[in-house]
Amino acid sequence: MLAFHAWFVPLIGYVVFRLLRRQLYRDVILFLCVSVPGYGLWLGIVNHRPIIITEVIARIMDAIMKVFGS
Amino acid sequence: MARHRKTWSLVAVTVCLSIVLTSCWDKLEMDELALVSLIGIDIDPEREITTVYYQVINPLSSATTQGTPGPDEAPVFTYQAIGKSFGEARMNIYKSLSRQLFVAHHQAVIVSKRAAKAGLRDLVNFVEMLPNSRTSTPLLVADAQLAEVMYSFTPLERLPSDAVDARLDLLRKNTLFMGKQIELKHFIERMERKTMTVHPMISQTGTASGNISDTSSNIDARQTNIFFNQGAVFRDYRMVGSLTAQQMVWYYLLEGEKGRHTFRMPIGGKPVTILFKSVRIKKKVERSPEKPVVKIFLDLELNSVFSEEHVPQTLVQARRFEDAVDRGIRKELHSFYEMTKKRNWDLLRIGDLLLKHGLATPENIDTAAKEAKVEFYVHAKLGQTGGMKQIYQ
Amino acid sequence: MISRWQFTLLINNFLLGTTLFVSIQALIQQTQQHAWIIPLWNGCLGLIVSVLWILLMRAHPGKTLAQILQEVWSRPVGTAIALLYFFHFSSIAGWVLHNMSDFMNGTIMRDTPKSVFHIMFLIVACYTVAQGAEGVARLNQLVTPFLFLPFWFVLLLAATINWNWERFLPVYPNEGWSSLFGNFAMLGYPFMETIALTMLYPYVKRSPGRAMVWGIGMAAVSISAILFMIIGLMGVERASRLTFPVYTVVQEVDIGETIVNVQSIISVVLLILIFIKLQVLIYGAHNILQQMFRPKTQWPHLLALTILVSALAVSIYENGVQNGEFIKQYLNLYFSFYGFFLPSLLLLSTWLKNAYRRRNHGNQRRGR
Repeated sequence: MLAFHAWFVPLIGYVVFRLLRRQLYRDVILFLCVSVPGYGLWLGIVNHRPIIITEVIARIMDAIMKVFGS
Repeated sequence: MARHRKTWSLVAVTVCLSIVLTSCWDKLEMDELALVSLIGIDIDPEREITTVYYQVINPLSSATTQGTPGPDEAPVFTYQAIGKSFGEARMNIYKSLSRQLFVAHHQAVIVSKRAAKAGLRDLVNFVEMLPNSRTSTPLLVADAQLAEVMYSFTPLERLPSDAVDARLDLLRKNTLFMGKQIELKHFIERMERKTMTVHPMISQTGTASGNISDTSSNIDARQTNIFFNQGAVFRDYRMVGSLTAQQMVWYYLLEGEKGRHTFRMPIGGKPVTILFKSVRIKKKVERSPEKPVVKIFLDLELNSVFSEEHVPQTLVQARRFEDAVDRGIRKELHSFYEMTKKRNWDLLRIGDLLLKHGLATPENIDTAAKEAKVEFYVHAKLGQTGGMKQIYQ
Repeated sequence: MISRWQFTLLINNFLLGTTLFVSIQALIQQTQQHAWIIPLWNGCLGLIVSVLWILLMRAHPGKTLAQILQEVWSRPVGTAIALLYFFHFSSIAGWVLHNMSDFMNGTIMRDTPKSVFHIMFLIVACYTVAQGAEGVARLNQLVTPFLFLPFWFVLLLAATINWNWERFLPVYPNEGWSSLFGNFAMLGYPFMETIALTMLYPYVKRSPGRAMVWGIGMAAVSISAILFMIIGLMGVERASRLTFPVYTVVQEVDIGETIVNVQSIISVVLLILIFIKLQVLIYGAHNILQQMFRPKTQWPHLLALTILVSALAVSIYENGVQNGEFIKQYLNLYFSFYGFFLPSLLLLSTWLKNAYRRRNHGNQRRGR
């Protein structure tokens, strides 16, 4: 966990810092919007409990099929 | 600094990437590998123990830059791994082996007779599941005690696996005792298609010796040699019987193997040795009202180089020679076929043939194969003669 | 700008990508010795669907999929759907990476951790994508002869010793020909994934539609030919059980005992094909972001994409069994949503909008 954060936080922090210095606020938001979900997924992986995407998709599809009654 | 930013970032990236050049999780150093040349499998069905023998090449036994080996340096070492299954045995090898097993270059797999009789399906599954195993090596059955075969050296060849490999090659080219389809993958395909197959059997002559100086200093090559003299017949992954060497010749002839064979048979009352080469085989199926007829046409080319008893002088004699060979071989093939029918072995793969032509279904394939009438038509032609046109009489 | 031939090759290699070692075993298990017919049949269906995409792209010349979404449906709705596509492309990229690391871990390199493969591939892919569409297409064009020739050379080499026509008998399928035509195993994957190429469509110099059709046709024929070779070289019994039949076929090539162990050539070829597929997907995902939000920089977003896709690559599926189940039950539907349903809605909306505009604004410039 520590090693993971030791990599992650400086990397994201450095990029955000550089972007903020150039006052590119839209870029910062976009960057955070893409990398924070990535961070969330990685947390699951590092804890050996990954969020299995295809299972989530399967469950969503099952729910939608039930709504349509097929 | 800011001006040369591109250069500096390039340098930084190169430095970071150089980390991947240092090493790797999967690196294999040559002197950490145990190169396996021969694999032996023995299964004890009562006690459910699987023994795997790995014959590992001794790298110090060949000439290196450091010098040539001594005469007593063993070229191979045989290690034994015991477990309740193949996977366990594979893990247990590291109790005695000091290097990482590398089986990608092994040259043959030898199974003991009792393992063959118990069934080889587990072995096949194990080999196919391992990512680095190949199934393109010959599968042989040991008639003798497998431990004897694995723990002894052979004369002339320093590596027993070379002896096995070279022997199989020579037998295939110069005799018909061996065919081409003796590899593990052919075994798997035949067994899955529910047909039968024959694999060579190894026996031991004399006393096995695990001492290289014994073997290389003994003039009698019979004393410590392995011997190919029989074939193991397999059905449904189990060994159900064996064929003698002569029967194997007829089996491979009917399989369509191209090879030569020297055979002594009576011609005109006298025994004559003939050398024939199989040229072509064709199998035709004719539908007749009662039962289907399978006609097997065999074309042979004769060579009288070994026929020191009789050399045909005139065309008439040559024709009589050819006819006699036709009749003789046809008789042999027919008695081979009768033998297989009696033992309920469809070694000619008649059932498969009928299935292909739609005259049988997977359910009644056995009865259809037995009821079909098989006729052999042999056509031998004298091609080459030997060095003498006329023999000393 | 990409040339027509570059686009065709790109589509061909994109479709071949991971198909060569993911779908083969399951397909041969289902359809036995007739497996080589399925890519041709599903390829025809894929061609029909691609006509839909071509019509859509022709209705909006010079615009990529993301821009069309924003134009036809309003900015908020278009952006939301474009984000769906972004997630779709990223997850396929993660899938491709996981397939690749499964293959590497299962055959040659057993100890290397998965993420090492994922991140190394992603870094190079991001670098290429940053160079733009030409970089992607030109690299592919350069590399294709080095893929095509060794691959077929090795397979034909194997065929000289191992071929057996009897492996294709019986000719008549057990359940009849209709069962073969009811098999859509290859429709969703890979043919529906080609929607990712619509992100590159506007950059093709001339007749991209024809190039697309050619590309899909070539890929269908290639996959069919490869399946044909595998059945002839290995037989149905073994090919339907092995995890990577292509790899095993090549592993067993043994010519004169000199040419052995050529499976390393095939591994490199397969890796490069996967890399090309990954590049196209990363390009698609990256450009959706660029065209939606128009940020001023490039590389931070590529970095964010690397983080996201590397995470997706590990989480996308649990193991081969769960992956196989998902593919069998949900994949065709899921991919058809993105590949067929949404584009047809888009096309319908485009036509309706054009008809409305023409009716209400008389002589004004038409949308075409």
